[in-house]
Amino acid sequence: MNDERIFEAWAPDGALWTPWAKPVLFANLSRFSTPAPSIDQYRSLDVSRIPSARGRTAIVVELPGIDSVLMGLALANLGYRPVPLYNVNVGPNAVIDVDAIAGALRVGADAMREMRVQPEAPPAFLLDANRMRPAKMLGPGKFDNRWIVMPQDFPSGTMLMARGIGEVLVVQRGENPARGDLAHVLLRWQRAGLPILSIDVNGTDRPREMKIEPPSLFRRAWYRVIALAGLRRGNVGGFGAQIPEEYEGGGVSGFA
Amino acid sequence: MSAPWLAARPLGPGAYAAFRRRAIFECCKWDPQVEDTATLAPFPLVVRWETWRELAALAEALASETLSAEAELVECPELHAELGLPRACRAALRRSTPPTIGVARLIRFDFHHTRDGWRISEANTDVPGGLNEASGIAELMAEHYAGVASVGDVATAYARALLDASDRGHVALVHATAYTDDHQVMAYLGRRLTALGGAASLVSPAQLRWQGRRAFLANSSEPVDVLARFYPAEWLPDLPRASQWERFFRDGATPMSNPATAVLTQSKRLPLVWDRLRTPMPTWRALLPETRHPRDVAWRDADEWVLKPALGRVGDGIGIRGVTTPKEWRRIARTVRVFPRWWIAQRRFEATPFATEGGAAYPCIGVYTIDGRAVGAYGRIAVKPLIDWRARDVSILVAGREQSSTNRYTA
Repeated sequence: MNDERIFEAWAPDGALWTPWAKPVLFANLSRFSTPAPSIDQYRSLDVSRIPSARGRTAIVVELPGIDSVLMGLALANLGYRPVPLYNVNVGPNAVIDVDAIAGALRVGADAMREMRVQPEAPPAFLLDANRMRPAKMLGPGKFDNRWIVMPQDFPSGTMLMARGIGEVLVVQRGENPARGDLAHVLLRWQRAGLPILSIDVNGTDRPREMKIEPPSLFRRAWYRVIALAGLRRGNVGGFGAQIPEEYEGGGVSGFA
Repeated sequence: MSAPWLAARPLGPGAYAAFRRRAIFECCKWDPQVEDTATLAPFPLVVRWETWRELAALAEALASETLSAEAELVECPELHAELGLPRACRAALRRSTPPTIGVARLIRFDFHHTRDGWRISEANTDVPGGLNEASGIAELMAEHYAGVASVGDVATAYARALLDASDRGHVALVHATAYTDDHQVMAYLGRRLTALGGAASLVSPAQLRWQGRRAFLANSSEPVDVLARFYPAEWLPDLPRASQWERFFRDGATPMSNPATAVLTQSKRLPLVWDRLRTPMPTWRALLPETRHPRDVAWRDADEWVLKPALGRVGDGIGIRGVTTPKEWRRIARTVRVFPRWWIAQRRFEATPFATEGGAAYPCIGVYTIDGRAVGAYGRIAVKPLIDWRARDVSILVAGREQSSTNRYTA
């Protein structure tokens, strides 16, 4: 299956939430040469505390690395539409390791086709909770591919409600408040009238309400700095100063 | 005056989905959705051949004036503060060393149709984007309609111009590599360079080293032939000093597209210094709405002025009373009151709407020039008369002629 067919399996034409799937990682899947991971464990994930996909719940999966893909597959099995939102560039010696995510998306494509999720199924937006937690020290020789989410990466609260969504459930590890960038997204939804709930995948509790507080002035200012002048529009772009590949006289090198 | 565009039916859902997917995988369009907006319009904006020729001629005249003005401004440091440039950029421009060598000068002029004919809202002389949409994506759209063609393959024209300026065909594409929206432009250009037999290195500006006055990839002993910069000039001073970022402005012997001296004409405050230049700028004067220092006009009490930051991009920070949200307008007005020398007030014009199935929309046709020759166009269309991040990309196609042949760069 080529990159385009894999993307189609995860974001099929005609599915209600397909337009929000981020294509960049799919467009670069063929550049990953690591062995495909096993994804079978998605079948044994406990999703018994997740509301039925016939209800009015949209889900945000905020789990690290491959766990987010596995949870996406488990939720697809439950009837949700996984929407991969991995808006991450790839390159050699990247500080955010997305090999496992890429491998799971590739292997999981067959499972997605077999599950035949309904086109109007509610969404489960998949995020890598490690998107700002480098596995390697930032510094010379590293490709800095950290990323953040922005409200523009998701449907608006108005759109969610217009399509029958009545609440948003954040699936995460632990009971921590939502991380900074996601908190901005959730806050907008909350202000639009959507209750926000969370569930700890390691716990046993039912989903509980998650009150999103407006970020402090400092955090708001910081978010603005990294969002407008930093991670999304500025100079994090490779500022780890990776050493590019030696020029060999043909083709594309460096971080293509 | 009649509208200069022709009606075209939108693609059906199936055709649109296939078009969108091909745009993603064949043309590196990795931001096809922004919040609730599908960024690729499902229809083209078709213009007559005569219209395209008129726009191309205007853009070429504008380019000639722009490059002449820029050459003058490089030697007039006393005007740089008036342009609203950051202090570090002004310091880099003030050096006595020769300006960095510019090649394959890529500029995009944004045209709007009005009752009084064509007007421009701005020129993107520093790092004009939209190459993917203006090139392969427009060609994908053209496949769905009979009797029309893309007005030109800008990315291929640009790749060819870069290779023409190189000795061995090695071009470093300098950009913010982690930023998907920028990376997609350079990845696409890299593919075009490779297709023409060249070699592309996609790097951040911090991944270059300078030896003498030549740029090298950090671990290479061979100099880069040409640098193509897709990294705004005003961000360069944020780089570590060891990166020698000043060489993007002056004292760089590696040919560069565009040299950072382009920031001199990128500033929207350029009209404020026209009268002190030898270049007469007749086309600019005819097409750009009246542009004033905010302190010189009563913008607070009137609707006819648009507020723009001197170095704003993609419609960021533009204030139009009644179009911008009240909250955003208040924020912009407060900033303009405190920092008027970083802003301009520009007289508002009434753009001709384009009828779509979703209602009236306002097109903007960005015409690219390379070394002064028109090579193609990037279209955007918005539901309100402000082109910002909410605007959709619309393919510009031409009817009445099979293929554009405006210049030697056209594929």
